[in-house]
Amino acid sequence: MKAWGVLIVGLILGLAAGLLYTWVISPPEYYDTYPPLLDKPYRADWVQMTVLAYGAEGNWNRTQLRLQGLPEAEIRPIAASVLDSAVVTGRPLVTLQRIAKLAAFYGIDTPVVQIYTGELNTAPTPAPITTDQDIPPTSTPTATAIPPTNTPLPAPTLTPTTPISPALSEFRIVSQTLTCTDPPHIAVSLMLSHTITVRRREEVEWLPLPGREVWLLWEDGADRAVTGFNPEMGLGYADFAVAPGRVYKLYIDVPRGAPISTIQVEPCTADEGEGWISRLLVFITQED
Amino acid sequence: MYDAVHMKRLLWFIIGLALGVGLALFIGWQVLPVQRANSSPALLRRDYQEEYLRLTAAAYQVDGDLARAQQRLAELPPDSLVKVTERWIAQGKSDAILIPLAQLARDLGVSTPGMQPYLQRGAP
Repeated sequence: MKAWGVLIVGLILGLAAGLLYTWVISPPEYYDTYPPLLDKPYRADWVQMTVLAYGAEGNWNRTQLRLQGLPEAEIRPIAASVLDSAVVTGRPLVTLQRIAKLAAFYGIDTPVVQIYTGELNTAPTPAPITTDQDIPPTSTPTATAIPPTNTPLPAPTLTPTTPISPALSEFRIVSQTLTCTDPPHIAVSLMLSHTITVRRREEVEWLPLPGREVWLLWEDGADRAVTGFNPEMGLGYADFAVAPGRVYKLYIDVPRGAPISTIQVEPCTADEGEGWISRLLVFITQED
Repeated sequence: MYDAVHMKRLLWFIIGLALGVGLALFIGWQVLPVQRANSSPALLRRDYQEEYLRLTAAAYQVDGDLARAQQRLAELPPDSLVKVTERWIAQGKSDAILIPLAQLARDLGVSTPGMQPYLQRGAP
């Protein structure tokens, strides 16, 4: 082999050994880095914390600085997931609204985001309001359990919330549908009575009210649901899984003062079969 | 004669090897470093580490997940939470920053006298 051939062989072997060392054995470590250079799981955690922190602090400019340089494709699914889990764990409405605003900014357009950004407030068609069919309680995300401690949630010392809708009169119950189910549930459907004039005749239509908080309080606990998470049941619909025999107080928006309804979960009669009485309560309100 | 030829070839081989290694180090560490984004929070610049602390405390305010907050803090140098919180207390940072940090420190069992006013102000 000629001299240049030996040189090339040495060069190739040296290159291979050197790349093995720099890429596999001793890859470079960076010091004084910034979030976009974090390893992927840490980056995801940074984004998650930033979204949660925006929910707590509401500081838009700081949030944008924190997310600077991070790919939107990474931010988007995390923001959506944080919003979903915040809804499921019953965070305060103002927190959910902030997170939804951030999620919307990054192009997420799910019903949850629409509800908390207020885009679903004027739904065009009212949903069916009474039904005789058995309504199964949905597991997520309508009925939510409140964590025992470390959160600002336990009623009645709740964080003040911002109503999404304009001022409305008090809700009044207009219908109640009872069914026999096991396990039992309590469902509510919130509607807005709206008067429109059609060919000089006034007609009343009922519009569902999404994004409203419904509270269920019992002797030693509370649960919260937000209307609109089960669109097939109507945008004003929310439901709770309930325990047999327990007495519940139902509130809308804030769990203070007199409850709008007090409900005891009773057993079905012998004619109705085995199980417990579940209820669908339809409440109506109108603009002041 | 035979040895001289071999020596010459060995010399060329060593020169080639050295050039190859040198070129590979330049390529592997400078031009095309593998996994650029492979650092941990401990390698963040100091101001970002402090931001990471703030975020950990703020996230804890919302999710209430103490174990997760503890995992996050474990990524930073030991006692970062207390040191930074104490320093920021001395610098007179706002309640909005200090209350979540003091509450997280307290829940981790490491509150200091300087944190007490913030814990009282942050009490519901």
